[in-house]
Amino acid sequence: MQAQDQVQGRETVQREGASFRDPSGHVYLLGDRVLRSVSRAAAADYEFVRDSGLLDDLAREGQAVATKEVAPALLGAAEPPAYLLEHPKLAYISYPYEWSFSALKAAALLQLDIHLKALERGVTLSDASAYNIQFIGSRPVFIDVLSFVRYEEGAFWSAHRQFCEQYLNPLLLTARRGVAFNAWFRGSLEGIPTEDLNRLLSWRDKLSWNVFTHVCLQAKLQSAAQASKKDDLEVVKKGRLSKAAFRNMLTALRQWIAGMTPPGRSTTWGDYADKNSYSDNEGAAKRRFVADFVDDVRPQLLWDIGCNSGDYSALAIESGARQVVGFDFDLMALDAAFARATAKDLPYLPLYLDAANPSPGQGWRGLERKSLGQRAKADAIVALAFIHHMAIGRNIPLDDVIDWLIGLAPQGVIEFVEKSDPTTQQMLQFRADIFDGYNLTAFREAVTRRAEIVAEAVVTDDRRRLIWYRRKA
Amino acid sequence: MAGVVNSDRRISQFLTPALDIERKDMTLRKLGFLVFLSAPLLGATTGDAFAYLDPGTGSMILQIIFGGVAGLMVVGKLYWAKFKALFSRGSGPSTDAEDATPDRH
Repeated sequence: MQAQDQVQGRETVQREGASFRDPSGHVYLLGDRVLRSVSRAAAADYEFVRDSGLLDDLAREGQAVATKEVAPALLGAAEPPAYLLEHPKLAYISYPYEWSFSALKAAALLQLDIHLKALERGVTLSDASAYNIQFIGSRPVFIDVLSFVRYEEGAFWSAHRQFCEQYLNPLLLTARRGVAFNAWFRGSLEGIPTEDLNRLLSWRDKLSWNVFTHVCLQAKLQSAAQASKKDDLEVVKKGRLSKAAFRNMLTALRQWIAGMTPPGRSTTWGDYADKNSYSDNEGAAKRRFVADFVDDVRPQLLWDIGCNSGDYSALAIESGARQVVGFDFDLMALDAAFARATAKDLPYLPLYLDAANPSPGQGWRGLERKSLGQRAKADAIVALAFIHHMAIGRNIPLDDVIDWLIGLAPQGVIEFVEKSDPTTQQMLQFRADIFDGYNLTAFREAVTRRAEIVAEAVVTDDRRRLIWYRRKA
Repeated sequence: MAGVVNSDRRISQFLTPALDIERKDMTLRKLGFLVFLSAPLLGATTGDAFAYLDPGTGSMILQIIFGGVAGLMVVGKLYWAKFKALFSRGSGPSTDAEDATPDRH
């Protein structure tokens, strides 16, 4: 499954590492261009879907990426594909295990909406992979146009199980049990198995008709089927699902998922912002510094490391950042940030990140899902109230934390929080202070070893300091 | 359509466990019963259009049941509409047909 390289002019065509499961086509990168081949076997389905007008409709509504046909010879392959399509390149690729509850929910609803729309035009989806959804800002978009195939009257929803494992079950785990799905999803790339979730849900959860059927009954039927002889299951293959029943299933799932919320989590960012207001002097000084930095750098892509509910991400967008990807460990804050981004239609995507254990390259050959570092590079970073969480909270040497941060982007703003600060004091309350090397001098030395300090500002009684670094060439 | 006749015979086997000398195991009997619930929908075949994804047998049987429930609801609505029509004058048959449309909630 080695990506095959072909030289086309001076640029190299490279096959995308995640694009191998579906034989109907593959994704290639040619410089900055994203190309998708359509195999001869899949050509008839593609033509049907294209001629139905579905792709144009979805692209116009912003529900799917735009698609245009280009010359198949562009791929430079000995045997050109039936069609070659081109999509606009996305600013940032993210994976469902990095999404907050609200983001996964938004993706699930889009998946169902698109399927309902497709059925109206005699088209269905051959899969329900959450990896086929990406975000432009906080707006989910469908990216795999070859998942659309001609619908045959009476056909099953072949991706129902996949939909459950990749959308429904993770959402239920959080909504019903209050457990974050991210770590499990990251370890189990195909999602959360229905049989496993069924063991975790309480009998009270199972009183719901939806939980009972989609989780409990499906799990029981699956194990019953596994215990049966192959010949006895032939009867199942002969079953059919009417289009009306198919639509009912999709509509009922949509309605159910639309009403899901994680327990005890505020659904509007306004509530969250009120409780964590930055209206004091400290906030004002910090905001001015960050705004000046962003205004000067004008980054295409800015990463807000430790974004919380997105105060400074929103400020960065106001100050001239084209796209902001925020990272935080606090899922509740991420949901608030996502709600803020959606409410204000910001080009902002808040993602889950444990900076001490960022997303690795994984899947087949470790290339299917890219590590954090293998994806788009940031033009600038903002890391406010972050490094003490790493250096003291997680025992990572200060110099190492700075090395990692400065390695992420050529320019950025980093906040240093002194040990005397109440938040740092709280971290040290029940443990010995083994952090002799954590001080302003060491911080400045760590930065100047790798970058020049463009500007510096003191906020709050000398306990917090902001520096603007520019990496040495 | 020989396969359909064959499958119907299998279902009847599951429904007569007392007479079943071979004594199928319990799980299979339960499975057979659930498939029986949706027996009216087993009339047509759709071929192996499952593409590259394994749909999962549990999910497929569940969908047959969903189809059965939806089918029963359609039938129920249809009879309910006819029943109402008995007591109301002036509402034509086209309105009744609309009432019976399954995906209107």
